[in-house]
Amino acid sequence: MSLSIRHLSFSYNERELLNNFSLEVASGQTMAIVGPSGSGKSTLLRLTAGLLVARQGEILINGINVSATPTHLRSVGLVFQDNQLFTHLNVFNNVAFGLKMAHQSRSAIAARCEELLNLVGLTEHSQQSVSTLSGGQAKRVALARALAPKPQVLLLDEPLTGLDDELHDRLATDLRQILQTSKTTALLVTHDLAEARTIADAITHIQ
Amino acid sequence: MSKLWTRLASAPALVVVAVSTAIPLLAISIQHIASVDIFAVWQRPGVAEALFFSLWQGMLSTVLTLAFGLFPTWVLARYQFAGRSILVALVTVPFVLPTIAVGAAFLAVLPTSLHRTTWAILLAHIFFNISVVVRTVGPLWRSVDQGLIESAQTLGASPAQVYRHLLLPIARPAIISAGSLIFVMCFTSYGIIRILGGPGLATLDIEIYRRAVQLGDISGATVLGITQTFCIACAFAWWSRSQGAQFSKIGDRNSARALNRSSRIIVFLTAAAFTAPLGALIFSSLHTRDSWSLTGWKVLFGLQDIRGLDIDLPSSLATSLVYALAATAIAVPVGMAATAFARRHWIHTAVVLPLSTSPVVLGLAILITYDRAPFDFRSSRLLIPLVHAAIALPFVMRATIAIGNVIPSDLRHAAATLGASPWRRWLNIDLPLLRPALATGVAFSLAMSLGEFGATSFLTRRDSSTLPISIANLFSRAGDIPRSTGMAAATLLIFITGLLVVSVDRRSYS
Amino acid sequence: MKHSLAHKTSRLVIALTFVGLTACGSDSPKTQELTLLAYESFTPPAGAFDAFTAQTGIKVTIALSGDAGEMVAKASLTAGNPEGDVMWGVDNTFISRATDSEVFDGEPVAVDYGDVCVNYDIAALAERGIDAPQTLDDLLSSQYASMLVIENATTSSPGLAFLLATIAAFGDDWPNYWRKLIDNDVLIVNSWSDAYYTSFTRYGGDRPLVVSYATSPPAEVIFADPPMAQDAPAPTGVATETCFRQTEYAGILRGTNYPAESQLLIDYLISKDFQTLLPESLFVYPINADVELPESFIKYAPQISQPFTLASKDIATYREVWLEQWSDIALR
Repeated sequence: MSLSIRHLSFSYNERELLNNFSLEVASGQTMAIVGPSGSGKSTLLRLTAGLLVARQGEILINGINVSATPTHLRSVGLVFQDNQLFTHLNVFNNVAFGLKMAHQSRSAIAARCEELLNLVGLTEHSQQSVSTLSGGQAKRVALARALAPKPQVLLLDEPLTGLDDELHDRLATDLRQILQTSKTTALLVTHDLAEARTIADAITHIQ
Repeated sequence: MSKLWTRLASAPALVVVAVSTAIPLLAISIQHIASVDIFAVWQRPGVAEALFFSLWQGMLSTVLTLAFGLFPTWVLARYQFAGRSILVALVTVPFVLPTIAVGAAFLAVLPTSLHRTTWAILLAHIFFNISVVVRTVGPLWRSVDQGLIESAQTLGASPAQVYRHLLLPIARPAIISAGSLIFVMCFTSYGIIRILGGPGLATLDIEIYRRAVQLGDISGATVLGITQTFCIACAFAWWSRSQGAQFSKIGDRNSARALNRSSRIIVFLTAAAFTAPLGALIFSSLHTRDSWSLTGWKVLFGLQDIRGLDIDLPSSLATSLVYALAATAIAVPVGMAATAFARRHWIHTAVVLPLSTSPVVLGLAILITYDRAPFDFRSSRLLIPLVHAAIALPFVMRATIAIGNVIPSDLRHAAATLGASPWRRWLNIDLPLLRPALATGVAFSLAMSLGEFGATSFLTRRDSSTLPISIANLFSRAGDIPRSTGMAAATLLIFITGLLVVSVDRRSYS
Repeated sequence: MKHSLAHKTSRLVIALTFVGLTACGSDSPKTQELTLLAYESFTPPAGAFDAFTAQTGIKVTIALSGDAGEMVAKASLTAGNPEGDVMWGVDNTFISRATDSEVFDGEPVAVDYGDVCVNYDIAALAERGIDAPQTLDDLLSSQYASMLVIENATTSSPGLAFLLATIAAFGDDWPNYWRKLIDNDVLIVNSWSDAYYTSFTRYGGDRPLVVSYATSPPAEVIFADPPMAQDAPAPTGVATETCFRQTEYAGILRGTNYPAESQLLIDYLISKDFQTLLPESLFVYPINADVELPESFIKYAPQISQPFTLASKDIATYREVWLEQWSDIALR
């Protein structure tokens, strides 16, 4: 499940955000992209997810060019900086969302959700409304939701920004463990080098 | 303090409903129902059929309007394109048209085989009520964060699944809101059915009119009228209960996007569907049997005098506008205050009373209630704006509650901990967020008042005629000129309303 | 009128909450002002009451409400405590209901009349090569199959008038006439404007015969656009033996504070001054025989010498039965 980004260029409002950018992430590896804000980190994730379309270059997942594939068929998970949890659904149904989209059976969904809630340590909160969760809990739900459909690539956009120090450090360790346990190919963007070092196997700097 | 505020804020709405509807209905019930056998009234010929017809066409119209209305609603809420506000105005305008004028326009574009069929009624109901969907569900969809849609996409949701599993559930309260109002509008449909339906098709409202006016059976009409109001109120109370969903995501990354292919098709179809009847109307105002002519417009603007055709356009226009502004001045603050402070469901049921009451029964009830000095309001100039405001109130409140639900409660809490009073909190936090809803409220009340025909024509007025009534009078005369003048007046009414809606929208979305 | 406790309580509530309305509304007429209640389409020319005000010093305010039927329904409810002083325009299909509920002070007087008749589109009939019908029986002939459009008797005043014409003509046998008429594929629509402006051939429909008024032909001439040639005949004609006579009445409303002044207004309404204005503004015939008819009426409106009539009393008594029977035959 490797990810290759080749010669990607993208500009928005005549401002060049990415120029001939290339990157390789090996299967099961977590790669961190570190750079100041405005350096095009988030844009790179959105391009990889298919939420934006590049002017030039190509994106390959497992060696298959997905540059023209619409987002919902790309099999990428994305954890948003602000989580973007579905507030009309409870914790369980947030995690189950992607599985429902894939028309999985009810029992399969229940089993997978239980597995993931267990992984992120939220088994007891399964029926809770997401608007009552703490910041750390919400982040874990977002992570579980993105992992549930077993995406080929997981994208994490500043996943630990805005959490207090103690929570930040604990979650960083947890995150590394979760990613390793689930053998997920992941691309993480952050402005925090220390955070990148804790979570990722390799680091790329972007200007 | 806060509780008192809450109670006081919903008081004006309740007073409007009480004075315009509840008290008169109570009075007419006491005078006219006691002596009749209620069950016998319901067994009279035509009554059960009318109820059945009202019910099934009302439900079918509602489902169809929602089904067709949600597409343009989405496109208008989420995309930015040239002519967007004109399209919004275009779909709003039919709502205000005097049915008499649009009925003629609609017949002009409808294939002859559909004339006077249930299909014609259903199509017209969709055409008339789509703006309720656009303007109730639209502000909510407009406020949905693009990130929510993107996260659904990354979770593998196709565009159809995004719609089905995210957008529809999120908009559920607003959709139920819109649907319940549309149901009331269609259930009590009067003008459209009289004009477009065949003579065998009668809603309960038409049966009530027939009893009261043709047969002079005031008691029978009252029984039917009260039952209708009661049934609709019950349905509404039930709907309101199922509407508890709260959600708190308001958009900060919902920058409007350019049209793609499917949204372009929706824009095109919507524009075509809504311009065709209006185009037919304009055409008829400029075309007499075999030639083009400006006479209708000249007569309308007093540039040409025709013996026996006295139209005082400035005064009927002024009357219409004064009523509309007065009704809006009452309905919008009263309605918004009631929703902003009082989240009690029964208030929503209470405010729908005026809308669900047959204009005939309401007119008669007002007549016998306010008939002695010092409460002889029968020819008060405030009475009509008050009734218009009462009819518009549920629309204002539905639009406000739909968006009011999505105001993040953290914001309110934050303000509260900083010591802001409820009033200041509302003014500084809720009001700016409520602007799209405010625009909708203003547009709806102006529109309801400008186009209202039933109650206005039934209440006695000393002022000059309103524009819809002038139009109806023109259409009751034989000859080319009354017809083309009537069409011209209807066209004028459309443009004035369209202009008002565009200017209100521009203010709110700027 | 009963004055129950709830009624009084309701007044009290209003008193406490909505005093504002009183300030703005209900300016009770000063001595020199009378209110004339009329139906919505009462449109006399501007200044029609100037002569009356000049003669008597009394101002006339016109208060409009609904159609004639709605007006009578309202007047019956408010009998004894009227919304105005004089009421204009209750026709003979409604007058006995009004008098039965003691709406008027004294007897109402007739103020105008008109006839509801089958009209035909002369050009459309010529095109089809058939003669115009003259009688109700003519309408049953197969050459007029699918040619007539009429209004729903339960929702439209000309529709009711046409039904009454057939009842006057055929007595108890009228249901048979209607069955045959329906078999001849008559089209029933809800309103006069639907019939005339949508179904009638002259305005693009496919029916050359329509139930309308005997005064529709002069209206067609006066309101023709482009104007008609000087000596051209009216484009539509009237089947003169299909007519039902509608007479409109005016009366002093019981409970007025100004009965004497109101009587003066009634006198004015039937005076030559006012009656002269009626033909070309309301398209009705003046009741006052001294009034000279305008040229358009003399030239284009046929004289209906023997219209069908029915006693108002009978109309009031049997209206519901007749309409039920008619609905069964024509609508169901």
